[in-house]
Amino acid sequence: MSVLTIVVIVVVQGILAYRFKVFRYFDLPLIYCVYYGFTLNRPVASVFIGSVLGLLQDSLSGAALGTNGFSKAVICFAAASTSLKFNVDQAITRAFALFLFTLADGLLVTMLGLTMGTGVGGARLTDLALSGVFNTLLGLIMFGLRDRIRYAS
Amino acid sequence: MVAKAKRSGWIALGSALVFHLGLLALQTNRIGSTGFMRAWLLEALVPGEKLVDSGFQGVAGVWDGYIALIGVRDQNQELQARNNLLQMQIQQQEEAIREAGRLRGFLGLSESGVGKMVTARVIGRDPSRWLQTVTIDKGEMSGVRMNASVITPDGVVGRVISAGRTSAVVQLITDTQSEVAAMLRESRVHALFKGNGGRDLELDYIDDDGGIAAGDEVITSGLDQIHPKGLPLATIKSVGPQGELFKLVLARPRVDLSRLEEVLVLTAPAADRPEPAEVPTVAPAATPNTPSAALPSQ
Repeated sequence: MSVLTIVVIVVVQGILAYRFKVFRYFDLPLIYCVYYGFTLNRPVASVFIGSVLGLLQDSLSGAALGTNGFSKAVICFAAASTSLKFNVDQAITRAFALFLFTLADGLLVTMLGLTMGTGVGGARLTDLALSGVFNTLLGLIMFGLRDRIRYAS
Repeated sequence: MVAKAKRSGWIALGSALVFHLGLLALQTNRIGSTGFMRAWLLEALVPGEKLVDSGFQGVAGVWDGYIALIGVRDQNQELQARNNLLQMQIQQQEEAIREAGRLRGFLGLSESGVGKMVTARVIGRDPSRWLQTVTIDKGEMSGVRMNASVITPDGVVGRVISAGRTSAVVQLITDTQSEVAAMLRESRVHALFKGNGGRDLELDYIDDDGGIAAGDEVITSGLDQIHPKGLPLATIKSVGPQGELFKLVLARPRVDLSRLEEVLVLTAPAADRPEPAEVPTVAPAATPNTPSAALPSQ
Protein backbone atom coordinates (compact mmCIF):
# COMPACT_ATOMS: atom_id res chain seq x y z
CA MET A 1 0.00 0.00 0.00
CA SER A 2 2.78 2.40 0.97
CA VAL A 3 4.75 1.79 -2.21
CA LEU A 4 1.65 2.43 -4.31
CA THR A 5 0.89 5.57 -2.30
CA ILE A 6 4.43 6.86 -2.82
CA VAL A 7 4.28 6.27 -6.57
CA VAL A 8 0.84 7.88 -6.80
CA ILE A 9 1.99 10.94 -4.84
CA VAL A 10 5.01 11.57 -7.07
CA VAL A 11 3.04 10.91 -10.26
CA VAL A 12 0.13 13.12 -9.21
CA GLN A 13 2.57 15.89 -8.24
CA GLY A 14 4.13 15.70 -11.72
CA ILE A 15 0.78 15.71 -13.51
CA LEU A 16 -0.71 18.50 -11.39
CA ALA A 17 2.40 20.65 -11.80
CA TYR A 18 2.04 20.19 -15.56
CA ARG A 19 -1.71 20.82 -15.70
CA PHE A 20 -1.95 23.64 -13.16
CA LYS A 21 0.82 26.20 -12.80
CA VAL A 22 0.05 26.89 -9.16
CA PHE A 23 0.92 23.31 -8.24
CA ARG A 24 4.56 24.03 -8.93
CA TYR A 25 4.56 25.72 -5.54
CA PHE A 26 3.21 22.65 -3.78
CA ASP A 27 5.30 19.69 -2.80
CA LEU A 28 3.02 16.73 -2.11
CA PRO A 29 5.92 14.35 -1.41
CA LEU A 30 7.21 16.72 1.27
CA ILE A 31 3.77 17.00 2.88
CA TYR A 32 3.48 13.21 2.85
CA CYS A 33 6.95 12.95 4.41
CA VAL A 34 6.01 15.26 7.25
CA TYR A 35 2.65 13.59 7.81
CA TYR A 36 4.18 10.12 7.79
CA GLY A 37 6.88 11.20 10.23
CA PHE A 38 4.37 12.88 12.55
CA THR A 39 1.78 10.12 12.70
CA LEU A 40 3.77 6.92 12.70
CA ASN A 41 6.71 8.00 14.91
CA ARG A 42 9.03 5.52 13.20
CA PRO A 43 12.31 7.20 12.26
CA VAL A 44 13.75 4.20 10.37
CA ALA A 45 10.69 3.76 8.17
CA SER A 46 10.50 7.53 7.72
CA VAL A 47 14.05 7.69 6.41
CA PHE A 48 13.28 4.89 3.97
CA ILE A 49 10.04 6.51 2.77
CA GLY A 50 11.76 9.89 2.38
CA SER A 51 14.62 8.37 0.41
CA VAL A 52 12.31 6.56 -1.99
CA LEU A 53 10.07 9.60 -2.48
CA GLY A 54 13.07 11.79 -3.20
CA LEU A 55 14.64 9.32 -5.62
CA LEU A 56 11.39 9.03 -7.56
CA GLN A 57 11.15 12.83 -7.70
CA ASP A 58 14.72 13.02 -8.98
CA SER A 59 14.09 10.44 -11.67
CA LEU A 60 11.08 12.36 -13.03
CA SER A 61 12.67 15.79 -12.74
CA GLY A 62 15.98 14.98 -14.40
CA ALA A 63 17.87 16.30 -11.36
CA ALA A 64 20.99 14.50 -10.15
CA LEU A 65 19.80 11.29 -8.48
CA GLY A 66 20.05 11.67 -4.74
CA THR A 67 19.40 15.41 -4.48
CA ASN A 68 15.80 15.14 -3.34
CA GLY A 69 16.47 11.71 -1.85
CA PHE A 70 18.96 13.28 0.54
CA SER A 71 16.73 16.18 1.51
CA LYS A 72 13.54 14.13 1.89
CA ALA A 73 15.33 11.52 4.02
CA VAL A 74 16.51 14.28 6.36
CA ILE A 75 13.06 15.93 6.47
CA CYS A 76 11.24 12.65 7.08
CA PHE A 77 13.66 11.75 9.86
CA ALA A 78 13.37 15.21 11.38
CA ALA A 79 9.56 14.99 11.32
CA ALA A 80 9.59 11.57 12.99
CA SER A 81 12.11 12.74 15.61
CA THR A 82 10.06 15.87 16.29
CA SER A 83 6.97 13.80 16.90
CA LEU A 84 8.85 11.76 19.53
CA LYS A 85 9.68 14.93 21.49
CA PHE A 86 6.79 17.29 20.88
CA ASN A 87 3.05 17.13 20.60
CA VAL A 88 2.40 17.54 16.90
CA ASP A 89 -1.37 17.13 16.98
CA GLN A 90 -2.00 20.85 17.25
CA ALA A 91 -2.58 22.85 14.08
CA ILE A 92 -0.15 25.61 15.04
CA THR A 93 2.68 23.12 15.60
CA ARG A 94 1.97 21.43 12.30
CA ALA A 95 1.83 24.73 10.44
CA PHE A 96 5.11 25.88 11.94
CA ALA A 97 6.77 22.54 11.19
CA LEU A 98 5.46 22.37 7.61
CA PHE A 99 6.74 25.85 6.85
CA LEU A 100 10.15 25.21 8.38
CA PHE A 101 10.51 21.81 6.71
CA THR A 102 9.68 23.35 3.32
CA LEU A 103 12.39 25.96 3.82
CA ALA A 104 14.84 23.32 5.02
CA ASP A 105 14.07 21.11 2.02
CA GLY A 106 14.60 24.06 -0.31
CA LEU A 107 17.89 24.99 1.28
CA LEU A 108 19.17 21.41 1.22
CA VAL A 109 18.25 20.94 -2.44
CA THR A 110 19.79 24.31 -3.27
CA MET A 111 23.03 23.51 -1.47
CA LEU A 112 23.32 20.07 -3.07
CA GLY A 113 22.47 21.57 -6.46
CA LEU A 114 25.17 24.18 -6.11
CA THR A 115 27.67 21.56 -4.95
CA MET A 116 26.83 19.37 -7.93
CA GLY A 117 26.79 22.32 -10.30
CA THR A 118 23.27 21.52 -11.47
CA GLY A 119 22.13 25.06 -10.83
CA VAL A 120 18.92 24.06 -9.07
CA GLY A 121 19.79 26.78 -6.59
CA GLY A 122 18.15 29.23 -8.97
CA ALA A 123 14.99 29.25 -6.88
CA ARG A 124 14.18 32.67 -5.52
CA LEU A 125 13.65 33.27 -1.82
CA THR A 126 10.16 34.61 -2.50
CA ASP A 127 9.28 31.41 -4.37
CA LEU A 128 10.57 29.39 -1.46
CA ALA A 129 8.53 31.40 1.04
CA LEU A 130 5.46 31.12 -1.19
CA SER A 131 6.01 27.41 -1.45
CA GLY A 132 6.25 27.25 2.34
CA VAL A 133 2.92 29.03 2.73
CA PHE A 134 1.18 26.86 0.12
CA ASN A 135 2.56 23.63 1.56
CA THR A 136 1.51 24.70 5.04
CA LEU A 137 -2.05 25.43 3.94
CA LEU A 138 -2.45 22.27 1.87
CA GLY A 139 -0.72 20.22 4.55
CA LEU A 140 -3.06 21.45 7.26
CA ILE A 141 -6.09 20.61 5.13
CA MET A 142 -4.75 17.15 4.29
CA PHE A 143 -3.72 16.46 7.89
CA GLY A 144 -7.17 17.53 9.08
CA LEU A 145 -8.98 15.32 6.59
CA ARG A 146 -6.76 12.37 7.38
CA ASP A 147 -7.29 12.85 11.12
CA ARG A 148 -11.06 12.86 10.66
CA ILE A 149 -10.93 9.64 8.68
CA ARG A 150 -8.61 8.07 11.22
CA TYR A 151 -10.69 9.03 14.24
CA ALA A 152 -13.92 8.02 12.53
CA SER A 153 -12.58 4.57 11.84
CA MET B 1 12.20 1.94 23.75
CA VAL B 2 12.27 5.53 22.49
CA ALA B 3 16.06 5.65 22.85
CA LYS B 4 16.40 2.46 20.84
CA ALA B 5 14.13 3.80 18.11
CA LYS B 6 16.17 7.00 18.04
CA ARG B 7 19.46 5.14 17.80
CA SER B 8 18.28 2.91 14.97
CA GLY B 9 16.81 6.02 13.34
CA TRP B 10 20.17 7.76 13.37
CA ILE B 11 21.83 4.69 11.89
CA ALA B 12 19.18 4.54 9.15
CA LEU B 13 19.57 8.23 8.44
CA GLY B 14 23.36 7.94 8.25
CA SER B 15 23.09 4.99 5.88
CA ALA B 16 20.57 6.79 3.69
CA LEU B 17 22.69 9.94 3.50
CA VAL B 18 25.82 7.95 2.63
CA PHE B 19 23.81 6.16 -0.07
CA HIS B 20 22.52 9.42 -1.57
CA LEU B 21 25.90 11.12 -1.37
CA GLY B 22 27.40 8.07 -3.08
CA LEU B 23 24.82 8.38 -5.83
CA LEU B 24 25.60 12.07 -6.23
CA ALA B 25 29.33 11.38 -6.29
CA LEU B 26 28.84 8.82 -9.04
CA GLN B 27 27.16 11.44 -11.19
CA THR B 28 29.75 14.14 -10.74
CA ASN B 29 30.73 15.49 -14.14
CA ARG B 30 28.15 13.21 -15.74
CA ILE B 31 25.00 15.19 -15.04
CA GLY B 32 22.00 13.95 -16.95
CA SER B 33 23.50 10.65 -17.97
CA THR B 34 20.99 7.84 -18.07
CA GLY B 35 22.23 5.39 -15.50
CA PHE B 36 20.49 2.07 -15.10
CA MET B 37 18.90 3.26 -11.88
CA ARG B 38 17.42 6.41 -13.39
CA ALA B 39 16.12 4.48 -16.39
CA TRP B 40 14.62 1.86 -14.10
CA LEU B 41 12.91 4.43 -11.89
CA LEU B 42 11.63 6.29 -14.93
CA GLU B 43 10.20 3.08 -16.38
CA ALA B 44 8.55 2.30 -13.07
CA LEU B 45 6.88 5.71 -12.80
CA VAL B 46 5.86 6.55 -16.33
CA PRO B 47 3.10 3.90 -16.73
CA GLY B 48 1.45 5.40 -13.65
CA GLU B 49 1.94 8.88 -15.03
CA LYS B 50 0.37 7.88 -18.34
CA LEU B 51 -2.57 6.31 -16.49
CA VAL B 52 -3.22 9.39 -14.36
CA ASP B 53 -2.76 11.64 -17.38
CA SER B 54 -5.32 9.65 -19.38
CA GLY B 55 -7.70 9.99 -16.42
CA PHE B 56 -7.26 13.76 -16.53
CA GLN B 57 -7.83 13.70 -20.27
CA GLY B 58 -11.01 11.67 -19.76
CA VAL B 59 -12.37 14.27 -17.37
CA ALA B 60 -11.31 17.03 -19.75
CA GLY B 61 -13.02 15.14 -22.59
CA VAL B 62 -16.34 15.02 -20.72
CA TRP B 63 -16.01 18.73 -20.02
CA ASP B 64 -15.06 19.63 -23.57
CA GLY B 65 -17.58 17.26 -25.17
CA TYR B 66 -20.66 18.25 -23.17
CA ILE B 67 -20.44 21.15 -20.76
CA ALA B 68 -18.27 23.40 -22.91
CA LEU B 69 -20.59 22.95 -25.93
CA ILE B 70 -23.14 25.42 -24.58
CA GLY B 71 -23.39 28.34 -27.01
CA VAL B 72 -21.43 26.61 -29.74
CA ARG B 73 -24.12 26.97 -32.46
CA ASP B 74 -23.39 30.63 -33.23
CA GLN B 75 -19.70 29.96 -33.16
CA ASN B 76 -20.23 27.06 -35.56
CA GLN B 77 -21.94 29.28 -38.14
CA GLU B 78 -19.16 31.82 -37.93
CA LEU B 79 -16.56 29.13 -38.34
CA GLN B 80 -18.40 27.71 -41.33
CA ALA B 81 -18.09 31.05 -43.10
CA ARG B 82 -14.41 31.28 -42.25
CA ASN B 83 -13.94 27.71 -43.39
CA ASN B 84 -15.25 28.52 -46.86
CA LEU B 85 -12.81 31.39 -47.13
CA LEU B 86 -9.91 29.27 -45.96
CA GLN B 87 -10.79 26.49 -48.41
CA MET B 88 -10.22 28.93 -51.24
CA GLN B 89 -6.90 30.02 -49.79
CA ILE B 90 -5.81 26.40 -49.34
CA GLN B 91 -6.42 25.68 -53.02
CA GLN B 92 -4.15 28.57 -53.92
CA GLN B 93 -1.47 27.46 -51.52
CA GLU B 94 -1.52 23.83 -52.57
CA GLU B 95 0.05 24.78 -55.86
CA ALA B 96 2.76 26.72 -54.04
CA ILE B 97 3.47 23.71 -51.84
CA ARG B 98 3.78 21.44 -54.85
CA GLU B 99 6.26 23.87 -56.34
CA ALA B 100 8.22 23.95 -53.10
CA GLY B 101 8.32 20.15 -53.04
CA ARG B 102 9.82 20.10 -56.50
CA LEU B 103 12.44 22.67 -55.53
CA ARG B 104 13.26 20.76 -52.35
CA GLY B 105 13.84 17.67 -54.42
CA PHE B 106 16.27 19.62 -56.57
CA LEU B 107 18.15 20.75 -53.49
CA GLY B 108 18.39 17.23 -52.07
CA LEU B 109 16.86 18.09 -48.72
CA SER B 110 15.07 15.64 -46.48
CA GLU B 111 11.30 15.88 -46.30
CA SER B 112 11.18 18.25 -43.34
CA GLY B 113 14.47 19.97 -43.88
CA VAL B 114 15.34 19.49 -40.23
CA GLY B 115 15.76 15.75 -40.03
CA LYS B 116 13.86 12.69 -38.91
CA MET B 117 11.47 13.48 -36.11
CA VAL B 118 9.07 11.70 -33.83
CA THR B 119 6.00 13.29 -32.26
CA ALA B 120 5.70 12.97 -28.50
CA ARG B 121 3.11 14.03 -25.97
CA VAL B 122 4.01 15.88 -22.79
CA ILE B 123 2.73 13.86 -19.83
CA GLY B 124 4.32 15.55 -16.83
CA ARG B 125 6.39 18.36 -15.44
CA ASP B 126 9.24 18.48 -12.93
CA PRO B 127 7.64 17.26 -9.70
CA SER B 128 10.29 18.85 -7.49
CA ARG B 129 9.76 22.46 -8.64
CA TRP B 130 13.49 23.15 -8.89
CA LEU B 131 14.14 22.37 -12.54
CA GLN B 132 12.30 23.26 -15.71
CA THR B 133 11.80 19.85 -17.22
CA VAL B 134 8.92 17.94 -18.76
CA THR B 135 8.36 14.23 -19.27
CA ILE B 136 7.36 12.98 -22.73
CA ASP B 137 5.81 9.67 -23.69
CA LYS B 138 8.45 8.60 -26.21
CA GLY B 139 11.80 7.02 -25.39
CA GLU B 140 14.62 4.98 -26.83
CA MET B 141 12.18 2.57 -28.48
CA SER B 142 11.03 5.45 -30.67
CA GLY B 143 14.56 6.58 -31.42
CA VAL B 144 14.76 9.29 -28.74
CA ARG B 145 18.33 9.69 -27.52
CA MET B 146 20.21 11.84 -25.02
CA ASN B 147 20.75 15.42 -26.19
CA ALA B 148 18.16 15.09 -28.94
CA SER B 149 16.70 18.45 -29.92
CA VAL B 150 13.05 18.94 -28.94
CA ILE B 151 11.03 21.45 -30.94
CA THR B 152 7.52 22.48 -31.91
CA PRO B 153 6.38 24.14 -35.13
CA ASP B 154 6.91 27.48 -33.32
CA GLY B 155 10.52 26.91 -32.31
CA VAL B 156 12.96 25.25 -29.93
CA VAL B 157 11.66 23.66 -26.72
CA GLY B 158 14.75 22.04 -25.22
CA ARG B 159 16.85 18.90 -25.26
CA VAL B 160 16.52 15.36 -23.95
CA ILE B 161 18.53 14.88 -20.77
CA SER B 162 17.33 11.45 -19.79
CA ALA B 163 15.79 8.73 -21.94
CA GLY B 164 14.09 5.56 -20.81
CA ARG B 165 12.66 2.90 -23.10
CA THR B 166 9.23 4.48 -23.48
CA SER B 167 9.68 7.93 -21.99
CA ALA B 168 12.19 10.73 -21.69
CA VAL B 169 12.88 13.84 -19.64
CA VAL B 170 13.29 17.08 -21.59
CA GLN B 171 15.20 20.05 -20.19
CA LEU B 172 13.42 23.22 -21.30
CA ILE B 173 15.46 26.09 -22.73
CA THR B 174 14.42 28.25 -19.78
CA ASP B 175 16.05 25.91 -17.25
CA THR B 176 19.03 27.49 -15.50
CA GLN B 177 21.28 24.69 -16.77
CA SER B 178 20.21 25.12 -20.38
CA GLU B 179 22.48 26.88 -22.86
CA VAL B 180 21.69 27.25 -26.53
CA ALA B 181 24.11 28.46 -29.15
CA ALA B 182 22.24 31.03 -31.19
CA MET B 183 22.59 34.03 -33.44
CA LEU B 184 20.59 37.09 -34.29
CA ARG B 185 18.70 36.60 -37.51
CA GLU B 186 19.46 40.01 -39.02
CA SER B 187 22.91 40.94 -37.71
CA ARG B 188 24.20 37.31 -37.75
CA VAL B 189 25.96 37.97 -34.44
CA HIS B 190 26.55 34.74 -32.52
CA ALA B 191 25.48 34.46 -28.90
CA LEU B 192 24.94 31.96 -26.12
CA PHE B 193 21.51 32.06 -24.49
CA LYS B 194 21.01 30.66 -21.03
CA GLY B 195 17.73 29.93 -19.22
CA ASN B 196 17.02 32.11 -16.20
CA GLY B 197 14.73 29.66 -14.43
CA GLY B 198 11.71 31.84 -15.17
CA ARG B 199 10.00 32.53 -18.47
CA ASP B 200 12.94 34.12 -20.30
CA LEU B 201 16.41 33.47 -21.63
CA GLU B 202 19.45 35.55 -20.72
CA LEU B 203 22.28 36.38 -23.03
CA ASP B 204 25.31 34.71 -21.50
CA TYR B 205 28.00 35.42 -24.06
CA ILE B 206 28.08 37.41 -27.27
CA ASP B 207 30.72 38.50 -29.76
CA ASP B 208 29.46 42.03 -30.15
CA ASP B 209 26.39 43.40 -28.35
CA GLY B 210 26.27 46.70 -30.20
CA GLY B 211 23.56 45.75 -32.64
CA ILE B 212 21.03 44.14 -30.33
CA ALA B 213 17.62 45.73 -30.00
CA ALA B 214 14.30 44.69 -28.55
CA GLY B 215 12.25 42.75 -31.08
CA ASP B 216 15.23 41.14 -32.82
CA GLU B 217 14.71 37.55 -33.83
CA VAL B 218 17.04 34.92 -32.39
CA ILE B 219 17.64 31.63 -34.18
CA THR B 220 19.80 28.62 -33.39
CA SER B 221 23.33 28.67 -34.78
CA GLY B 222 23.88 24.92 -34.66
CA LEU B 223 27.23 25.35 -32.93
CA ASP B 224 26.09 23.47 -29.82
CA GLN B 225 25.74 20.29 -31.90
CA ILE B 226 22.28 19.77 -30.40
CA HIS B 227 19.84 22.01 -32.22
CA PRO B 228 20.05 22.28 -36.00
CA LYS B 229 20.94 25.66 -37.41
CA GLY B 230 18.19 28.14 -38.22
CA LEU B 231 15.43 27.09 -35.84
CA PRO B 232 13.48 29.97 -34.27
CA LEU B 233 14.52 30.32 -30.63
CA ALA B 234 13.40 33.60 -29.11
CA THR B 235 12.69 37.27 -29.57
CA ILE B 236 14.78 39.89 -27.78
CA LYS B 237 12.58 41.30 -25.05
CA SER B 238 14.78 43.92 -23.45
CA VAL B 239 18.34 45.21 -23.57
CA GLY B 240 20.05 46.75 -20.55
CA PRO B 241 21.14 50.42 -20.57
CA GLN B 242 23.96 51.48 -22.88
CA GLY B 243 27.43 52.20 -21.51
CA GLU B 244 27.48 49.48 -18.89
CA LEU B 245 30.13 46.80 -19.05
CA PHE B 246 27.65 43.95 -18.76
CA LYS B 247 24.26 44.60 -20.27
CA LEU B 248 21.41 42.33 -19.26
CA VAL B 249 19.74 41.09 -22.42
CA LEU B 250 16.51 39.14 -22.00
CA ALA B 251 14.78 37.14 -24.71
CA ARG B 252 11.33 35.56 -24.66
CA PRO B 253 11.19 32.03 -26.13
CA ARG B 254 9.13 31.67 -29.28
CA VAL B 255 7.36 28.67 -27.81
CA ASP B 256 4.99 29.13 -24.90
CA LEU B 257 6.64 26.55 -22.67
CA SER B 258 3.86 26.65 -20.10
CA ARG B 259 1.35 25.32 -22.61
CA LEU B 260 3.23 22.46 -24.18
CA GLU B 261 1.02 19.62 -25.31
CA GLU B 262 2.89 17.89 -28.10
CA VAL B 263 6.50 18.21 -29.22
CA LEU B 264 8.73 16.92 -31.97
CA VAL B 265 11.92 15.11 -31.05
CA LEU B 266 14.71 15.12 -33.59
CA THR B 267 15.86 11.52 -33.84
CA ALA B 268 18.19 11.91 -36.82
CA PRO B 269 19.27 15.43 -37.73
CA ALA B 270 19.72 16.33 -41.38
CA ALA B 271 23.36 16.50 -42.37
CA ASP B 272 23.37 20.15 -43.24
CA ARG B 273 20.24 22.23 -43.06
CA PRO B 274 20.04 25.57 -44.82
CA GLU B 275 18.38 28.28 -42.76
CA PRO B 276 14.80 29.24 -43.69
CA ALA B 277 14.64 32.45 -45.66
CA GLU B 278 11.62 34.30 -44.31
CA VAL B 279 9.10 32.44 -42.21
CA PRO B 280 10.76 31.11 -39.05
CA THR B 281 8.60 28.03 -38.81
CA VAL B 282 9.51 24.38 -38.56
CA ALA B 283 6.92 22.07 -40.01
CA PRO B 284 6.40 18.58 -38.58
CA ALA B 285 7.64 15.70 -40.70
CA ALA B 286 4.11 14.49 -41.36
CA THR B 287 2.89 17.77 -42.82
CA PRO B 288 4.14 19.55 -45.89
CA ASN B 289 6.40 22.54 -45.37
CA THR B 290 5.62 26.04 -46.37
CA PRO B 291 7.68 26.92 -49.41
CA SER B 292 9.60 29.62 -47.60
CA ALA B 293 10.56 27.26 -44.79
CA ALA B 294 11.90 24.73 -47.22
CA LEU B 295 13.99 26.99 -49.35
CA PRO B 296 17.52 28.00 -48.45
CA SER B 297 18.32 31.62 -47.91
CA GLN B 298 20.33 31.92 -51.05
